[in-house]
Amino acid sequence: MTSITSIPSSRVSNLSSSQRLLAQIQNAQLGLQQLETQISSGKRIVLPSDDPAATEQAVGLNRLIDQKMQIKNNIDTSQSYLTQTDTALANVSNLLSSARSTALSVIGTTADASQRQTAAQVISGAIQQLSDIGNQNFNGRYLFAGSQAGLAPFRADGANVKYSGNDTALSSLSDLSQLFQSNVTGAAAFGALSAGIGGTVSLTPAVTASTKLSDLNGGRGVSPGSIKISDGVSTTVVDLSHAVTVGDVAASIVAHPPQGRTARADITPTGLSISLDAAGGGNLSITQDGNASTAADLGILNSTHIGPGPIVGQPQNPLLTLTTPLGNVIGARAEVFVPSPGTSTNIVLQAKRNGAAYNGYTVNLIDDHTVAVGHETVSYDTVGKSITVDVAGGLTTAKNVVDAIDNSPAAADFTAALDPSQFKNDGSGAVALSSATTAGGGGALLDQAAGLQITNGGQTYTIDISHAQTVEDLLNSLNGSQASVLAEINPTGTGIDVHSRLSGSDFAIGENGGVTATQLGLRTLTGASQLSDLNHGAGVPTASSGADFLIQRKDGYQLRVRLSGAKTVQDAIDKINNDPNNQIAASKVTAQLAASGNGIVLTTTDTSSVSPFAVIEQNGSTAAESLGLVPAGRTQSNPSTASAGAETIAGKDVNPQETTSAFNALIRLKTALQSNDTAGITRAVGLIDSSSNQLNLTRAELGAREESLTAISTSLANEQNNLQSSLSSTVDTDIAAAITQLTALQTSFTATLQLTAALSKLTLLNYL
Amino acid sequence: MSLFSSLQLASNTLQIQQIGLQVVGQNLANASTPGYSREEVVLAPGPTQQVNGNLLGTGVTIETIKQDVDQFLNQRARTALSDQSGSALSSQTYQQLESIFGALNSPNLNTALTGFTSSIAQVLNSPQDVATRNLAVLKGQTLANQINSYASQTNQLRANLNDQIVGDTGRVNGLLTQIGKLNVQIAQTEGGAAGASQAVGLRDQRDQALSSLAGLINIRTAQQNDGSVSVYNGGDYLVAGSEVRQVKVDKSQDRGQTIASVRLASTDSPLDLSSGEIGGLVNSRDGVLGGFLDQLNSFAGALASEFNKVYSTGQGLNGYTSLTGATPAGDVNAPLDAAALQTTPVSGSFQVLVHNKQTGLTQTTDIQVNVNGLAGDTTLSNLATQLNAIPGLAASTTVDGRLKITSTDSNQQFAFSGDTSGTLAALGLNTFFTGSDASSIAVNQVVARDPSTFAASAGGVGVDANVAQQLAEFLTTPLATHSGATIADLYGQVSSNLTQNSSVAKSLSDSAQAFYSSLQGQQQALGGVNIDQETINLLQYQRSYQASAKFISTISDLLHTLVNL
Repeated sequence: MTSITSIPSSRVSNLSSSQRLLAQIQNAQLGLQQLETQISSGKRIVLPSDDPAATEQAVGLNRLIDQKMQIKNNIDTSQSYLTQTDTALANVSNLLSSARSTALSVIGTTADASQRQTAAQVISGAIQQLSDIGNQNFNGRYLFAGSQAGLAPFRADGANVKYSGNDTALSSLSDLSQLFQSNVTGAAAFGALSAGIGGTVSLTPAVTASTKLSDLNGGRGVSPGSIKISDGVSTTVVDLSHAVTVGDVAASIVAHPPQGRTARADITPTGLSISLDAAGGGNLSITQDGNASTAADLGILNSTHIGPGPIVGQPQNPLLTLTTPLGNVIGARAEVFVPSPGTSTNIVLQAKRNGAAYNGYTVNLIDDHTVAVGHETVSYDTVGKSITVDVAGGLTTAKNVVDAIDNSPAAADFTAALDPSQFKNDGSGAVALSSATTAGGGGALLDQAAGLQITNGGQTYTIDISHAQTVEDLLNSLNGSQASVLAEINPTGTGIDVHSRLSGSDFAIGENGGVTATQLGLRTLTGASQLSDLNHGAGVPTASSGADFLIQRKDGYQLRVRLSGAKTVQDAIDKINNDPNNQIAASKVTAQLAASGNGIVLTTTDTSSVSPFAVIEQNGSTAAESLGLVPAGRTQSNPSTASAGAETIAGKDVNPQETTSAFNALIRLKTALQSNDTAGITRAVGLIDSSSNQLNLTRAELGAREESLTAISTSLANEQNNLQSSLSSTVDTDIAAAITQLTALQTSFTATLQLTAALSKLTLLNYL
Repeated sequence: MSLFSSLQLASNTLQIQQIGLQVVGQNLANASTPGYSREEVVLAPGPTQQVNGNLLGTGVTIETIKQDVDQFLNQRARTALSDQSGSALSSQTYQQLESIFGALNSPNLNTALTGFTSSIAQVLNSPQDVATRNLAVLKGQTLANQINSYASQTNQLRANLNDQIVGDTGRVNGLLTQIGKLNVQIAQTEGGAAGASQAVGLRDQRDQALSSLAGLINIRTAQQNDGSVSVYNGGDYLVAGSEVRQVKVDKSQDRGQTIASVRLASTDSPLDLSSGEIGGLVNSRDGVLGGFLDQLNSFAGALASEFNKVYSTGQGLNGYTSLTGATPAGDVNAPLDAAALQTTPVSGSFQVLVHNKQTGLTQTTDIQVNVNGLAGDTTLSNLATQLNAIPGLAASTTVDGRLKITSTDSNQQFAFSGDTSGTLAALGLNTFFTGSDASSIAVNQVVARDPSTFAASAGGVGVDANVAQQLAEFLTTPLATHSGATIADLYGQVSSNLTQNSSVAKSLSDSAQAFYSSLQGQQQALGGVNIDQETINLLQYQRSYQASAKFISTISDLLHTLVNL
């Protein structure tokens, strides 16, 4: 700080000249000290205010450097995990190829059972080793456990191996806002989870008042904003930016109709339906206010509608979430809206169950002057489909009607409620005499009574879902069972996927006497199952000519079944059921899917006893065996079982699922070796090959990831250098410049001192 | 005309030259006295006499001994002094603040912030590890402590400045009394005749007192005819002649501290403190430090509430078995947006997860929060009722308006997720920070005691680390509530505000100092002692004295001649 003050022009006093000299000396010393501090500390800026712009820059640079350092740390840590993972997977690869050679060495006809037993011992060791690798722990993390990295993922479960991890990625930051996956899950590396069962049935739930806007449009949600509603004369803007649920939207629209009009917003199972009072006429239009796409997102954007409505919105496809009620999943409930003029008057009546059976019920409000307010009577007629309420005309309120219906026999099937979309509806308004009819019901009620059967690891488990209220309850019933399955909502939020956690045995989901599994899309053997997929992909081989098998009916007739041309299980069933020679009710053999478990079941109610009820293979075709009707290695079915006047031949489940894991391949191999089953050994070798392929893909992907991390790491080091040098040039002292400045200042300081000495001596007194 | 009258003339001359020498001596003696104004003897020819029709002079007389002062220049210098001392104080305060909060200090808030988010990024690297989460909690504590320490150091500085204000007020009273007394003495000495031979020493003393006073508060002075000076501050007089109005200190509360304000004792009206040391102190205490504290508080508030908003949607490695909200509601029966919470919830929902440790299964329940002003808005007590209805949970409100949730089954823990309403953050449930300003911000005791509850997951208890991903990027995530500014930006604003203001204050102070120095230079040019000039005056008086002595000797010779006739 060297401030030069002006020298007065008129006179000079001794005091001021000595003060000026003193000030100059001090300034020079101050300058020297500042330079000395800069040089010794290496910092150009002592206090931030010395150079505010540079300080601000330095703050940003410092932060960036810290963040990049952490990223470097992330990459280093993750690289160590990935390297370890790679090593482990290389070991798995070796293990699989040696198991493969072991298998091949005993597959030929030269090998005997005892050699295969020995080989089975070797494979048994390999399974143990694989399990050890799968449970490898590095730096506190189980490498293959998915995101459940604190628990060992693989555990022997009898002869099988159970995976208790998940398929969730762990991610770290590889740059600002850039994530990379830092693990390989057991599911990806070992195929430890089976492919998900499900997905054939869409479980998109019905839209209700409590459906969240963020779940609409397949989870894309609704962009917050306002919409404009016009009747062609006046326009109103409805602010929906704070709406959270579809019910909020409906309530906001009803609360802000165009001037002088009444608006109605109905929530249908697929979305919204908006209308204005018919009496006012006009053309209802709904448009966007501003740039957000709220109206379009709600599916109600329509500027060309003729008439006062309703504008029926596009389907909203809400996501299936954990808290979605099961009742909304595979159907919708019939509903009716009973409006009356005025405020707090509207009533909504909703069926308690899904299904079209509750459509067409008429709700009548009839004036009966013998009725006192609060004592309305309800008559419920399920045959004529009507709910008639006797009310005190002009006096009975909406609340009275709701209470009356809810306390009547109609309450068994319907729930009455005040319309939540009417503004501040407390039910205090008097109802008008009217009649309205229920509609919109559809689909079916989920069969919760029956439940599911899951076969896994040789055991059959019955899953009871009778107490489940929500999708999560259903998932918990599955996940919480002993069946070793992982049930989850699929990634697109449209259905439920069930995976098996168990490697080494068959897995199937079947019915438990009802239709639950089919409704949820979880049944593993259905009419739509491709014949070529059956029996672990072995398919159903058919005879080149002639019938594949005969069904010997009890009346002695032999039904010739030729499967050629049949693609699906249903086709095969139809071949039997639609055979022209099998149409007499008394002697008919009916094929169908098992009511309990899986498999094709042949049934007959014929009481004649000409010949035993049986399935007999023909022409060397093993189709009947492949359909499960004839036991393996035999040519004729087991004797039928009789019960309740019917005889049945129950086929076994021929579409079992399995995991595609290395464990599965090895365990299958071991089992085949032990049982001296060459076909099984051949299949197991195929399984080993496919899991080796999967492993190699995973390793290739892992290698690519490691490589990209190395590249990032290198560029990070450069970036770090650049940042450091920018920071240095911003806040660090330029030593050369500072020393030059110091020298200059020293010179001027010396001059000032000399001048001070000389000037102080100058006085007239010396010359007198 | 006689020889004797000539002698008389000469004797007068000698005496006058002696007086001249005396003044020169006085000036030389005070050549280095600060605030001294040079005195000057103003000589005039004596009256003339008519002798035999001729007009003859009667020698020399002293017209006056005056000081070379310019009252207006003095007034300007005093104003400049007020400005200078006021601005110097502000600048000093800024520099002290910078040395506490400086963006380049080590450690500073910037490094604490990045250290905190880096430690969260570390959680992503080992999500299964409780120790890493513990580190994140500790780093959060470091951050909170750092902010607390800025607040307490700033408050300490404010307290110091406040003490200085009280002390300075005493000095103002002392100076006012002194000026009043001097006014009386000067009027008595000068006899009410301004411009006559003036009470030089007393005026110097008074000028000194006025300068000291101007250094403390801004004053305006008016010279009165009787030689006294009136002192004004703003529209009020402080001294008029001998009458003095004392000032006093008034106590009040500001930003959690007792502060002093300076008022006139008699009328209770506040002083005008736009400049001067006290003005500078008040500005430093309230404007500089108070303003900084306000910014720091709003920064800390934003940090806590925005971090909690994200954090409260997550789950830890473990759930809670019992949890009490950190923030009480003023009214448990008021809608949540009117329940006097620190932050205001909006309509939305959150989910409560009840997690069974043994089976690993989770039960999710949606809780709707409505605060849209329509019927059925959610209050704290009906929130408790909703939570209480969840199987396995017991929820109630405490007497002080907090929400308390307890798991009723020892195998079950609970956690929260997907809060779109901000209710959890507002109630201090499942939050990381508590407190809403720089003094009160702290890490929630719940997570500090059990770091395994650090909410890193988004998909359930101990499932993933998706919330930690967001938290790790928290510093640079645009905040909707701050028009897209990030926490890093908010910190940048606090820091650059301080730096820029400090820089401005410093240059203001420098320029006020330069202006004051140049006015001082002008004062010195007018009234300062120049020894060479005094030496020349000394020679002049000496020579005149010698000449007059020679004149006497000549007259004496003449008389001798005459006597010897």
